[in-house]
Amino acid sequence: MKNFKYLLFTIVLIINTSCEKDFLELSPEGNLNTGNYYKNTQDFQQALVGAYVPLRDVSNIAFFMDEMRSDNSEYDYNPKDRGGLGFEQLADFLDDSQNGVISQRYLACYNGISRTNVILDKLEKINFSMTDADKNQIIGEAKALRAHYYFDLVRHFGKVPLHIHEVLDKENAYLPQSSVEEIYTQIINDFTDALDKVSLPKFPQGTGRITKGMVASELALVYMSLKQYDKSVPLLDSVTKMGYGLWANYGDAFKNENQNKMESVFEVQYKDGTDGQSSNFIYRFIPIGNTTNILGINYNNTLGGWNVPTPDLIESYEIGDKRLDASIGVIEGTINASSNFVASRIVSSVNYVPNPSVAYKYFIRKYYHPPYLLANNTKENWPVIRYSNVLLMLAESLNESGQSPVALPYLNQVRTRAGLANVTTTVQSELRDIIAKERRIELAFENSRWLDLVRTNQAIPVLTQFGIKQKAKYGYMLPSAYTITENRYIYAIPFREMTINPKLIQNNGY
Amino acid sequence: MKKLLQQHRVSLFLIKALVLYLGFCTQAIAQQIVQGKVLDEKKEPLLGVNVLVKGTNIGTNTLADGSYKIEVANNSTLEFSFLGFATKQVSVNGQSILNIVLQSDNKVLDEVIVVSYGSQTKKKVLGSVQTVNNKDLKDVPGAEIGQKLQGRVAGLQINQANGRPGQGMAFRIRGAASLGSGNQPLVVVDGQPITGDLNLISSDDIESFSVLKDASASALYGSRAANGVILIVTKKAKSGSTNVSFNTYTGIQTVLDRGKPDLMNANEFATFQKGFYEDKIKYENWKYPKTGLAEIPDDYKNPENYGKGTDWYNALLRSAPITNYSLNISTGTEKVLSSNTLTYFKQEGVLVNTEMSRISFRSNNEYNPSKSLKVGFNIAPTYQMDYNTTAALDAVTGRPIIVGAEISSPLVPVVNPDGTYPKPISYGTYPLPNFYEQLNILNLKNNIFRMLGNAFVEIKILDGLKIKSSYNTDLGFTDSNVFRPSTYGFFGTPGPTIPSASHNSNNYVSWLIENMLTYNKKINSHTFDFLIGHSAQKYERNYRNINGSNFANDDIPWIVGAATTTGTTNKNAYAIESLFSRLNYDFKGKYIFSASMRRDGSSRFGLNKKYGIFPSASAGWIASEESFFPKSENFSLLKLKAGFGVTGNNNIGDYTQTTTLGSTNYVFSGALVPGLSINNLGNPDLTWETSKQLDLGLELSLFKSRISILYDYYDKRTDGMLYQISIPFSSGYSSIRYNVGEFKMWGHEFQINTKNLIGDLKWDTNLNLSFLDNKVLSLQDNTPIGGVNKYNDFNRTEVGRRIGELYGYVFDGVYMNQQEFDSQPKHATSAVGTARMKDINGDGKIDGNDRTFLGNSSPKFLFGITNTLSFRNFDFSMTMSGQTGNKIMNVNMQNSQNLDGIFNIEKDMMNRWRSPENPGNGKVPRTLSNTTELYRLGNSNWVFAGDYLTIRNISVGYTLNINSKYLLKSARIYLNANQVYVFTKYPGQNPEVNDTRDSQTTAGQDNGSYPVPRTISIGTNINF
Repeated sequence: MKNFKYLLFTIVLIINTSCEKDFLELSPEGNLNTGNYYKNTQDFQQALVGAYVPLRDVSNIAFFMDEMRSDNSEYDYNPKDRGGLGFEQLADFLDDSQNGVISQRYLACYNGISRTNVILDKLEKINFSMTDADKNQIIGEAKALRAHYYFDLVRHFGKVPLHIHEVLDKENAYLPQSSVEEIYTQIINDFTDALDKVSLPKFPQGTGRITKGMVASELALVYMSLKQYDKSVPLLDSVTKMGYGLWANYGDAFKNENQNKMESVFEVQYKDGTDGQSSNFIYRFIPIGNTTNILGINYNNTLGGWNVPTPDLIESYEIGDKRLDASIGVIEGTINASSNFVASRIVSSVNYVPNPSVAYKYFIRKYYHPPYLLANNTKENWPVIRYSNVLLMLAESLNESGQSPVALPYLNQVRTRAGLANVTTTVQSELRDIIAKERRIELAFENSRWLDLVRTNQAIPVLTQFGIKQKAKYGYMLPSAYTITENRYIYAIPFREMTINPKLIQNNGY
Repeated sequence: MKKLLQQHRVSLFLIKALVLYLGFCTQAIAQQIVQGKVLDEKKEPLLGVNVLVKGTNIGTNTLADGSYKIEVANNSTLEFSFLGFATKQVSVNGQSILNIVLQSDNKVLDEVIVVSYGSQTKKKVLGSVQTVNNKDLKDVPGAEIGQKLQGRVAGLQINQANGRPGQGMAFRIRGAASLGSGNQPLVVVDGQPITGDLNLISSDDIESFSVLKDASASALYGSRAANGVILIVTKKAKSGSTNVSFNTYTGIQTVLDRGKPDLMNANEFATFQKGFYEDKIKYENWKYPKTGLAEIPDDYKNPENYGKGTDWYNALLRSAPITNYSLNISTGTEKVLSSNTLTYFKQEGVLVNTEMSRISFRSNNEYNPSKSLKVGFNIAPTYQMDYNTTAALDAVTGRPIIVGAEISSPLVPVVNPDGTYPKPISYGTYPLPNFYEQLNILNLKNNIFRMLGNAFVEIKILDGLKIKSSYNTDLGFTDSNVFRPSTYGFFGTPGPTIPSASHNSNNYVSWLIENMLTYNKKINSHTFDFLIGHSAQKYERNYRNINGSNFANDDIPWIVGAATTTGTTNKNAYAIESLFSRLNYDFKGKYIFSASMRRDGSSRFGLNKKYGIFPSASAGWIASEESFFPKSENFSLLKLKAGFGVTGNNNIGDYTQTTTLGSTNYVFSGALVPGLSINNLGNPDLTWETSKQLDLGLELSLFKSRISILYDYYDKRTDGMLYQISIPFSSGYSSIRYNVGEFKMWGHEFQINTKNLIGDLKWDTNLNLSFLDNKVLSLQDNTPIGGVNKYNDFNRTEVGRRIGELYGYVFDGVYMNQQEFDSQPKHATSAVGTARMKDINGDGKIDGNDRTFLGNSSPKFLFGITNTLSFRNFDFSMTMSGQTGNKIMNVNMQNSQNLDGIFNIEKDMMNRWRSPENPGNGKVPRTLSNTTELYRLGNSNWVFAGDYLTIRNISVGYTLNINSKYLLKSARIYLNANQVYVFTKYPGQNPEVNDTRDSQTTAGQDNGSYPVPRTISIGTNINF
């Protein structure tokens, strides 16, 4: 009997300790999950914010692929740390499919595409009411971003998989490549739809969001890439009527206080501080070593030595071009016993005459805006489209469509601000070269040069010549460097993608 | 009694211990000689019978004629024990002649061993279970249990992956492998599956280990048992005795010269660098920036001015002490059993300024208020302090600190004459900090508090029917703080740097409630043993980290002094609820059957797959019990067994089934705007991985049980492997967790125990051998895993091959001359004199597609042998173990063979190609800029056989028998050498190395980790 009581007691105990039904239902408290998200307009607005973020992942590295591969910039060869070899190989045309930068860019673009696909798919299935204004803005910006990322991909990788729906499981993750035409069709459709939906730019102060100005300008560049100038002209013309203008001084366009103002059509947004939103472009562009005498910040910079202006570019500035001083500076210093460059001061590049007893290095001054508060942490935005680019695109489109005289005022608007004389020639081929050179100078270090050379089919002659000079100058450069063929107009599909997805075909020459 | 207490004037806390001695003390302690003969049933004399005074260590052995002679107190009891015979106890009672007849006894195999949720007589165990008693391991010094168990158990592979105090050991049972869910077995301490680090359990607390190898043994642990289970039983008091024992050892650890890197000395380095710049001038039109002339940099102009210079590797090493103290007091009466152990352990590391120490306590108490009721309370708190020994030390921005040191310039001294630390940089070398300085100023404290506790009540309801209910907790708190002053530098930024500090901490609680009902019944020749139980376990962990930077100075080492502070907190949790049941049945003790079943529900599994069922069944036949089996002492046991079971691996992360969003903030109008994006693509079908294992076994006992042999064959198929499969970036994600792929693991295991000599000189041998192998049967879309990235991706797992084989280029010499260069496949960066890799795919060019499989990273044969000898009061034991069949990739050679003139490198690099006239040995390429990278990508040059034989441990002890009239009962002193010597052709420091530890898909890499020392120690065990 006594034992029976024990039994009863134990049974009660077991019952008491048995589990609640939801004992095994645990969700991560530190993360939202898709089950409890996308439930109201604010959720979609936040998802849209997330789709902008990969723009940064691209602009943080794009200069290696878009500027340093061209004749505008080179690199400071660092014999002590060969960890940057992958960056150098992009400049020297020795890059292969295992290059880390191309893989990062590829992933960043698809991150952005996937985030826009999630928004666009989920928005079709909402069961709450959203105002038309909100809907237009969210769909418009999402589509413009998707088109922007695909435009980036198609120009750098050619044929890529075309995902336009959210990937929910692995079964839908393996797409084959679509043709370049199909991708362009998607880009044009997305931009065209976005153009109707997004807001007009605001002046004097914009927000950094996508506007009709950005969509029209980039869509025009898409058409220019396809040589459909009849379509690019009206788009660019519409942008000139939106309220944009040029700052009186070229250098003002890049100042931190002028971010998202009248000359800015689209820029990638950053801010300094400890909330993880900062940029650090200037650290990439100045020499390695202590930054005290350059930035006023005591910091041992190991990121630098990249995207260094070439003498070739400096020589191409016309005399009196005010843009030289704003674009390129000189850092003077000494070489210490271990052959490290030790910076001492910054001087102007205008009429700079090297002193044999002083070591010096060129650097991009456009993104140099002291004072700085924190090490390796700046508020510098990255310009994607400036209004002067729109003017030059318009001039080019008009010239290419046989309206050379009409092109001149747009070109000269840019030249006047630079302190240069008007161009008067209306000979199409002459004007073509002048506009191309103007783009090189005006948009130097804004990731335009390489893509312009490819778009206008000038990359092989221009860079082969440039390569001969480089190889003669630098003993460390391999004879096989600067072997440029049309295959090199696009980069390799990343090795990882090729390994994982058997449906992919590698680009020729890689 | 009072009087006695006064007489002895002992301090109060020893009263308990004293009670036992009263028996000796109250009588006149008269000593006398007892002698006699010990015979078997056939009146044959028995040699080597152990004669022991009960409750002491005093004893002797019988001689060839069976005679013995011993001096004892006249009220003692003598205990006669001999293998294969029943132990007999006889009271002396003043007799001086005691002739004894021992009855032969086949109950040797009635030894009870611990199994899943209970214990069983060894004879009836059907699973593959092997038990090791901790007393056989107690001499081995070390912070980790794994160090003691190395080489002891067939099929239990324990490797010391590195020498960091307290953190180097990695376990694998039967070559267990998973794609991404780890290899480590489940550890169960006194019935409680623990969640934290096994090594926080002091080995002095442990009574025994049971290693459950096959699925029929471990299936009761269900979804956690796929990698095998180690059951640990802690020390309990024994009824009727009181014991106080004190154990201590102290030793010194040193790193052997074998395996130290063979790098250039100062003279050689300067010579190499001189040639390096000669070639630069010759081929690259190089100018010395200081003068603008084509001349050799000052540092290397006159190599003859340098002698040996600095050996940076040795500069970081020291001889370091290791110490352990442990005190155990246990007492047992009919009503109370209590055992308390207090242990203090301290080990300084062989790298300067590294250290760990641990203080641990365990109290195990059991009360038996009535015959049908048993109540227990056990508690074991531990506090461990790691100083500069955590993983961060081993990988200072990618490279272990010792690697950073060894490649520093030998031209620079460790310390300047004025006491300052120079930067180890010569002309053109990489900006490295002075790693000796770094180690000395590093202040990384990792403190862990951990407590295991449980309480249980066991009620006997009817004869054979018991209910046990237990309540267990495992809780821990880890607090890690590091401060890096301005003098602290990094690889590439030697300092001064901006001071920074970080704090990481977490606290977890895991509770487990378990209720079990057991029923034993014997009906005639049928024996039943039934178990049913329910358990619920929940684990919750809060964690946080704070980072501080921009300290104004080096004076405040806490984050409060930082100008910039960032931090987060978060939590994770999981829960498991299970039902389990087992039935054991045997008929006449010769036909044995067992079946078990567990049903696990887990919060980790996807919504569509919440519950899993894990069954097992086994059968055994003890043929030697059959009447037709010839009865012979020389063949006393023949047992055949077969078992099959299903187990799971639930190490899949806590929330991987859920698609989650992470913050992806951006800036509009110059201000932060919150954004959210999907950061983890979930999978609602996600579930445990399943292992199905078949085990066939044979047990033999021969020659009066002097030889026992256990043989097992196993075949294990693991499928539905949980893996973060890489999916194309074009999906917007890089991976998704899936249950994919199937592995096969199989092997043969032998465990052979022999008693080679008995008698005065006793010699036992324990030999274990395991042959094992594995194969990948399928993978997701048969896409290989790994071997994708250019750098640091040295393994590939591919269908039809072994798991995690080493992968890279095949080095094929150098292009010796223009003709070779012109006629052979080339890389984009190739030139005459550069490294030539094999064109594996035959497309005429060398690129990432020419990498191939370079060797198996898993051993195919493991062995261990322990010899134990004793002669009168001396004892000796030696353990050796090793493995063969695996390859190691010394990935540290990307540093030690770097031809960029930036590191100190291997001596052999002198023989590089310099010109067609001076082409070197044909194995080392030239130093031409932009051509050297290919040579430092993973290649066959770095791959070596990983075979080794290590003399693990040698111990020699001497036991002093002390007359029982003193407080001291016995004392033993011993000398121990651990990790005595490693025989291997592997040129690196440690052939057991495995940098990635618990990941078989990236196994076999040596990145130059913390060296493993030899330890020489002296110790004593004292019983009061």
